Amino acid sequence: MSSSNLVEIRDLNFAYDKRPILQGINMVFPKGKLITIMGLSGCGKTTLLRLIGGAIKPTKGYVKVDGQIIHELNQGGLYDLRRKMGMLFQFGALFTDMSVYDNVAFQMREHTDLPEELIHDLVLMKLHAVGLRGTHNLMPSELSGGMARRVALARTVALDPMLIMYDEPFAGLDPISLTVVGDLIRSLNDALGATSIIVTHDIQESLKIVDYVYFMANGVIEAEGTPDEIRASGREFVHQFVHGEMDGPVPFHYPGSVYRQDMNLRG
Amino acid sequence: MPAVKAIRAIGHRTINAVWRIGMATRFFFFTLMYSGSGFRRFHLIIKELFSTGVMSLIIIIVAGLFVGMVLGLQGYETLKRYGSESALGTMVALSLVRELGPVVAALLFASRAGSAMTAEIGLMKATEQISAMEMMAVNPIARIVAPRFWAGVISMPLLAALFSAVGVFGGYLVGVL
Repeated sequence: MSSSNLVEIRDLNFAYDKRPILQGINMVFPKGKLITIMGLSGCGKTTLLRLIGGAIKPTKGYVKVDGQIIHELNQGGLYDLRRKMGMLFQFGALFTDMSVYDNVAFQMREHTDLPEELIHDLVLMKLHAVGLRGTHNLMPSELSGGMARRVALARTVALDPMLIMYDEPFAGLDPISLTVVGDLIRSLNDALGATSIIVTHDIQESLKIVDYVYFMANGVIEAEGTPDEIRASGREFVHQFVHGEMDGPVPFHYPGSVYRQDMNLRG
Repeated sequence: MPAVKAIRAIGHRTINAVWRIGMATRFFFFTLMYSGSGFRRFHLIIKELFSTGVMSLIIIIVAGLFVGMVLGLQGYETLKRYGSESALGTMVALSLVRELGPVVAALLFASRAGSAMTAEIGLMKATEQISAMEMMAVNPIARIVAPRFWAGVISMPLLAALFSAVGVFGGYLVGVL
């Protein structure tokens, strides 16, 4: 593995029971880069993220993070590695029984022996970075969707992780929150010197901020390249996806029997 | 072949039942295994003692009082026939402390605190809070399950004792006043 790659995926296969989800995936995520994995709903993007995080094990191939093969680690090793990772869940996954402050302080209290005064300063700095220092006394139920996502982002970067994973960070956000979250992802990645992986199907927002794109469909990589290469791509699938066309390689109609036959028409 | 189908269904159900027992045993084993780190977060056990124990007080006291009163009333009617009204207190106290107290208190605890815990953990699971905790390298069994388990272990006998005590008082109200 090249030392410049933080994450390396080789010949990765995964199946739920006997239903294949991922087939022969090869990807590299160089250090310091912001890379997005795009594709239709259900194409295996989130599964790939769960494989990188070690939540599930591959049926074949491997995921290497920081030189360690994830599925070969025991629980202690996996937890040690996860302390250097951060993951932002689709709807933030903030702990609903804790205040914003306690949510951001959670990992600091669990994994460090820092004095409470220092934790206080660090939490406010993290919240300030996402523009929500004033919300530290609020409960998650008092935040809007975009604010909850930003607080979750502050919690994700609480321990300055080397790898940050985002699962659909743009889902369900208004245009202003969308831009804010997008800019924050880019600026936090650069400020922390981290490597970020974004799983999304929000093409326009992600192409603005990322360094490299992987396109997935039906469990395989259909296309890859820089945002400019993707925009200029002549591949039918990429063209349909980027321009949101109804018909193309991804058909509008789910496969079924002949229409006339279903309607009981003769002749 | 209906016979084969029936046998297969029996086998399937048996395997399923054994699998569930295995899962529950494994879960219980993990809860005990991670209790050490649960006890290191003692403030969480205190918090859970409040939400399971203290919040169950009302239902335990009200139910205990009425069970004691009913025992007193029915017991008095029966004992009077044999001229043994004086044994009412002993009967109420023994039946509460030996049988009814722990059983009814446990049923009430399971329905009040158990269902509240199930709903809370279910919500945490549905909103990915448990996955988030795992991704933050914090074991959910140690952090979420163990404190609730030990809060239950501590509060349950106390609630059962309180149920019996209030029940005896209920019997006293009916029998003496």
